[in-house]
Amino acid sequence: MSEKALEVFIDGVLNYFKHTSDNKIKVGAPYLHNNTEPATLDYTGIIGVSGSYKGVVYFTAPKVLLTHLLLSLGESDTSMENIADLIGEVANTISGNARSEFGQNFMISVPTVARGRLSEAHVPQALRSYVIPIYWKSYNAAVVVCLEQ
Amino acid sequence: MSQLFKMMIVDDSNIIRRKIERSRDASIFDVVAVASDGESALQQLEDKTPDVVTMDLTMPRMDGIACIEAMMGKNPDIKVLVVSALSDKATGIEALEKGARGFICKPFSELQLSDALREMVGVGNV
Amino acid sequence: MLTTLFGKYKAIVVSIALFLLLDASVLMLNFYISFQISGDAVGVNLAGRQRMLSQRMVKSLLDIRYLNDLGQSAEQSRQELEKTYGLFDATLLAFEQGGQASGANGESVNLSAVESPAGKKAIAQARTLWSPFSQQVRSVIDSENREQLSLNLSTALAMARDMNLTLLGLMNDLTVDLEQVATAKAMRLRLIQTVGISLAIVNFLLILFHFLKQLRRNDEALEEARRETEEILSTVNEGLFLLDKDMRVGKQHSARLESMFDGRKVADLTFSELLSGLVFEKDMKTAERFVGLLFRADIKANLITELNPLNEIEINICDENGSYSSRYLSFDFRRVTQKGEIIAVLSTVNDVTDRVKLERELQREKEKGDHQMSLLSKILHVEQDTLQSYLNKSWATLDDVNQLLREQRKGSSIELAKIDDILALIHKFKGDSSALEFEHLANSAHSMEDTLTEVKARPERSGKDLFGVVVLLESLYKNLESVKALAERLAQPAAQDKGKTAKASSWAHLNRLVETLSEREGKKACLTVSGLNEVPWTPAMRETLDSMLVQFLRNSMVHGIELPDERQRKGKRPVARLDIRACEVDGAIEIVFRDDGNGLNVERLRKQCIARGVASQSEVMGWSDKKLYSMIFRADISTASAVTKDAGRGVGMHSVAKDIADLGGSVKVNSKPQSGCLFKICLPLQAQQSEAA
Repeated sequence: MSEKALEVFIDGVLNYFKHTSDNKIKVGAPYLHNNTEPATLDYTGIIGVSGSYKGVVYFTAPKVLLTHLLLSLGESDTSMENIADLIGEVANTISGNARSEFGQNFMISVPTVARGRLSEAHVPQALRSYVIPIYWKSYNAAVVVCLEQ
Repeated sequence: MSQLFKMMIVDDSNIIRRKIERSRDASIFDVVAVASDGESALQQLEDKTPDVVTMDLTMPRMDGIACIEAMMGKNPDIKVLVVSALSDKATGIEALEKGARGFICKPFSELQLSDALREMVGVGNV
Repeated sequence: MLTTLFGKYKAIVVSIALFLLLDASVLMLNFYISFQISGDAVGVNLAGRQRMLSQRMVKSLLDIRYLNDLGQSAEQSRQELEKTYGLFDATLLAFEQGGQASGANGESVNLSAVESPAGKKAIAQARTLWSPFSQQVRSVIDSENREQLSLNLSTALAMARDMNLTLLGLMNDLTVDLEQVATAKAMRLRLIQTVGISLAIVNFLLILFHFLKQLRRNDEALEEARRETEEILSTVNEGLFLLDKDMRVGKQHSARLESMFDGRKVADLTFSELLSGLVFEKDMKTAERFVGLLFRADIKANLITELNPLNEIEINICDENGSYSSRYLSFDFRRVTQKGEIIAVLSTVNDVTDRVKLERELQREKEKGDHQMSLLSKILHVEQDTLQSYLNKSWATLDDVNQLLREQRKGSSIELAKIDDILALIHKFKGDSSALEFEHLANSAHSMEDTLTEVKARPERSGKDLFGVVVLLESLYKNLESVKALAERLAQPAAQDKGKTAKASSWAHLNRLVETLSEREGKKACLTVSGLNEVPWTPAMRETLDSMLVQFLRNSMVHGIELPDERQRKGKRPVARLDIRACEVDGAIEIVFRDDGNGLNVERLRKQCIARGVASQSEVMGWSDKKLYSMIFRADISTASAVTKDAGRGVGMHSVAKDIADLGGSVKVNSKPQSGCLFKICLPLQAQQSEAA
């Protein structure tokens, strides 16, 4: 896993937030997290990766952030469906960005959305994930990268 | 008794030239010329009239592809075997498109080379 | 072509020939008999005319007598008689012997001699009657005067009266007979036609039957062959397909092929359509050119196998869930020739994913193995307890680093103090790793320090700046895991004799560190260790002491000790002396470290203190040497002139001081220019015990 790859993933998310009315978004210090208990918040958009790297990359956020994000995007309907839709969109942006950056050898699946704690089946057990916190308004979310070569 | 083919070896490496010379079946291939680059190979072509040529691709002055093209312009019946350390298969294919008849990859064993040469001129194993 | 036609279809060709022959002969017979029948019809006609002629002769004779009796000219009747007579005579002769006769319209017709017995008999009788009568009629015609005519006429009429009816009857018999012959012939013709047509029909049926049977048999054979091919194509594990000169995939291909290619319909696609989106455009083009070479007869296929760009190619296929799986396919291309001409290329595709994965794994294992071998040789040199304590400590250090990263405050710029803390931890880790000669780990730690130092220098720091750090941290974890795994494997047999050898060599790695550093720095040094094995260390204490001593030794070797030449110029022995002693004094452990190098560089320390803004210039200038010495325990102060892997970052001493403080101890430093420096550490045993409890 390279520094560059982490940047590509986080840039995907930053791109997304750039379109919001309040685009002051900060990237926190990255750290490692044991996969035995996946680091997740209320909603998670997951993309599977295969090719030269294998594993998952996901964006996880609390409901309140997503609700706020919906509102700031001009969407007043903050139903669960819309929230799930939104997080799927963010994951899509990550995958789109990664696809254009890494090309052929980095195959990325269509995002899936999960609620609550992430099932262990989603993440390879033997690994540690990179957790990159992001801060938007007073909330925090994270991009979690869990790939093995 | 099989026919004796006149052979030219084109390679910029001394060691490879000697290895090719050593490997070929001397009862079939008579080495009439050696060259360390494409230009020198072309210069010797009219004088030595080889039937068979082993050709490196990456060489100083004139590379193998250009040399094969020029050779085919002069005599399309010359049988060229490309002997090259291959980094890019497309280049090897280009050499064949220009008129070479076969390809073997460096590093090669003596047996591989002698078999390839025999196969190219259509003489079976003795 | 002709021979094969006769070979394969002999029966049918013969049958058809027979059919035609039959038809032809029936036709010919038909023609022949019809011709005869038409001849017979003429005969019947003429025979009928003979009846009429015989009567007309009698009538003419009577006419002549009547006119003659009246004394009128009977010339017209005589001519009539002559004509009738001539016709009758010629026709009778023609019936008798065959030959020309005059037809109804005066045309000449050919009559064949009558052959039927009844006919012959009638003709013969007619002839007997006709011969005398004809002479008499002739004499009537030839009479020259009236008397002669009257005479001849009465004789002729008398003869005519006698035989007229008989002759008529005979001619009638002839007519009937000829009619019968004609009818018989017509009957024969019909029979022949019936037989011929029947035979033709039978023959036709035979042909039909035979042909259909053969056709069905051929169809069955074809069907069988097709089924076999289909079975083969549906069961083989390889993807099989043909490529024609236009790079088009053939209609027939193995079933496996479709599943290999994403379930797409492959028949009739072009080669590039088949592979589109699965392999790189460039590889695609190269592959097409390669297949193009196979269509060239002057190239020996065996001599270009090495150029096959698709002999092991990775393709990524999207499944129904939208996730990608990568497979490795191997394409093999072979010429298909027919009568010496290359008509297609047979491509065999094998899924070699498992093989490739295994190979890769073996390769990775091998690399890992190589790496582990070197690691192993290092580990073997390290005493078990030391290794264990190194692992525990290092693991804890990495966890601490991770925790420090994690604790960053929300949204704010990355805190400098935290970076300093991380630097201190990593520096210590680097020292420990390099003491055990785990170069790989030490190098990674060094890179991490580089990154952190660089990040520290930036005016503003975001989380992104630490991506490199966290990636290195992960690699340190990984490396440490492999050391741990190896150590655990080694520990099993070694566990029994643990304790016997433990004490004797517990501190041997310090000597090795000095050796390594001597070599690297081009210096000579000799380390004497005493008392360390006699002191009752707890593991925690031992770890602290260990990393502390490593730090001291590294500092001395890098900054303090001079090069052998320089030492000689100063009148020192070329081999420097390093001393470590430990003893228990008044409920505390006292450790003294001493070298005989240059001592601490007071001027450099002073400059650094000013540069880093530790205190104002005037303040710093007023500080005593002792006060300046104590500055080396600050995070931002280093005495080395250049940063190397072993020293110069200033964090080493900082972490030493922190560790000692954690254990409730104290450290004193003393230094004398050109003679060396001394560290005296005091660790209370009380703290040690309470920690142990």
